[in-house]
Amino acid sequence: MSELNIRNWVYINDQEAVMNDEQQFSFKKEDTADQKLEQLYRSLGVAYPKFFKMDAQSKLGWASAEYLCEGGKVFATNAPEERALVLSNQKSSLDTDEQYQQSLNNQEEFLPSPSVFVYTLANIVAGEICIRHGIKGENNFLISERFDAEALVNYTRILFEEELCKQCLLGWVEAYRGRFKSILWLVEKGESTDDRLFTVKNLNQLYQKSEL
Amino acid sequence: MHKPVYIVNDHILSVMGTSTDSNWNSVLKEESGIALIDPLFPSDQAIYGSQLKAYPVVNKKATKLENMFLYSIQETLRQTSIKSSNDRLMLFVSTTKGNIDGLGNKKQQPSDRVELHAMTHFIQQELGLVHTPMIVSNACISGVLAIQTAALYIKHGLIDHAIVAGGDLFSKFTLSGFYAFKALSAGICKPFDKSRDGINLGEAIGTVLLTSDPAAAKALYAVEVKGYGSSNDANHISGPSRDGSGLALAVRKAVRHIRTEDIGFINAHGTATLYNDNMESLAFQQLGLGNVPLNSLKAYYGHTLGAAGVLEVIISIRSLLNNTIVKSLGYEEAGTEGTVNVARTFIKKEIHTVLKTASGFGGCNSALILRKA
Repeated sequence: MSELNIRNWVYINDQEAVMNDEQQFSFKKEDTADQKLEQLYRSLGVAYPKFFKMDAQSKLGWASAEYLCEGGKVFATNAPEERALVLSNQKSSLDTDEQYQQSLNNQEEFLPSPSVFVYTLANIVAGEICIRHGIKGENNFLISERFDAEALVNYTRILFEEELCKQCLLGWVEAYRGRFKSILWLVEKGESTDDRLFTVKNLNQLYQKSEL
Repeated sequence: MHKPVYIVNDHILSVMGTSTDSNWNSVLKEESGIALIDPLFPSDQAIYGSQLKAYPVVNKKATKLENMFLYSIQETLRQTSIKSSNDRLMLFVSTTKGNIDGLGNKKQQPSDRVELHAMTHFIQQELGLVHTPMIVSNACISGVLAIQTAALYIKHGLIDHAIVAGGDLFSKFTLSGFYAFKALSAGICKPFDKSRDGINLGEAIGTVLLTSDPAAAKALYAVEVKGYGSSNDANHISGPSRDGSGLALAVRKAVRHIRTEDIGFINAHGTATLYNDNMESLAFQQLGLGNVPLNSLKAYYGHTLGAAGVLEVIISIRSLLNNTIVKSLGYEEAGTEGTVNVARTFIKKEIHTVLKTASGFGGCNSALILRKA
């Protein structure tokens, strides 16, 4: 198999959004997570009203994919079913799970919200990204205690070897109790430079850069 | 060199029994594990579901779900020569919510292990598994997708053996959510039937053992994982696609290396919501599979979420081994836009290949082809 190349990578943490080593946006320290994510949305200049219905994790994943996919330009040569998405995090959907659980504790006014409940699954952020970018290929959501570059690289390589995809978005997306962190890669076959080779070592190095 | 991958043993823990044999015998007798239950919250409708009142306690420190997992995994390994300490063995856990009932505890403790990795770490320690388990949490396709993931790990030589264990609790958390969605059936669900009115939730564990070397595993049987594929509708996060095209994409990948006329029956997702079953019927019709006998097991077990894909694969393997297609319980009258051949009775015939599908929230779909070796 020819080499896999990291075409783009992006991370968003509580301080900044960075794509391919260039800062795209910097957050004000005093702002809340909601404010930060909304500013990020505004800065992207895309009209996508559904953004405001999403939970924080989906907003984060949506914004990360917005950078990564360059407004859909990266998909020019491939069909929707050839695009895969493999995501991971530690806490699944715990941020929204806790909010939903709060609404259940009120026995007097028992009104669980379907629009909150739907976000109580890890892979809903994946669904939002797929809708936005027409990704109809392989999906997987893996939970791990720590960022697991080896699992992501192993599984993604297999998807390419099996010809189950021609491009893959992969990485980590997590929002929890007002803090957030995402790091995503867009990988495809092709010529690569050492620092853009799709390897465990490169993923771990870039992950280190995204750590505060 | 890619290795073939086989499922060689299994175990089901559910209201229908603590072994695959007892579960299979209940299914053959058309028994449903679904009953009227305490709704756990103020409800304006009767709630039906399948819930385990008693379960095997392997470890007093373990939660209910962890005990269920531990028991089922131990039972699966017990009859084979694969030991949990085997360094070429890896566990793949399929779950949507894990120990979610711990989240409702007034004083949540670390021992509630609400986070999925904490639960899985506990299971790994208890069983003495060498490798950190992989956790697949991809809504209702988790079980089918975990089998795909494990099979690919074996096929590509990363490991030699895999346990895939799927499980979820019948919880107030999940039940109330489907209630809020108005997705719960007023009785025992009726997949693909004209009068279907929603789902029942259930709890169970299903475990399968996969290997590249059935002889070395002293396997009881060998069913090859012959095809796999997943997809996303890219359409809606909580509703299935209207036309079934997303599911069709996953199935097309799964059948890449077989002839579709070899498919003896389809074990569908068949949740018994209007939209899901309709979507599936359109997918199978457009794939030219409208005449293939089809069933859903949801009227036996309810929707067991992370367990569903694994549990339904196990019953489908029993079908293959016994040349018996299971009756699709609850089905009387056709009521889907696509034409499908729902099994009204148990069908005895020579079968070797099954197509298993699942679809879920987030717009995800997944398909497997399993064939008797």
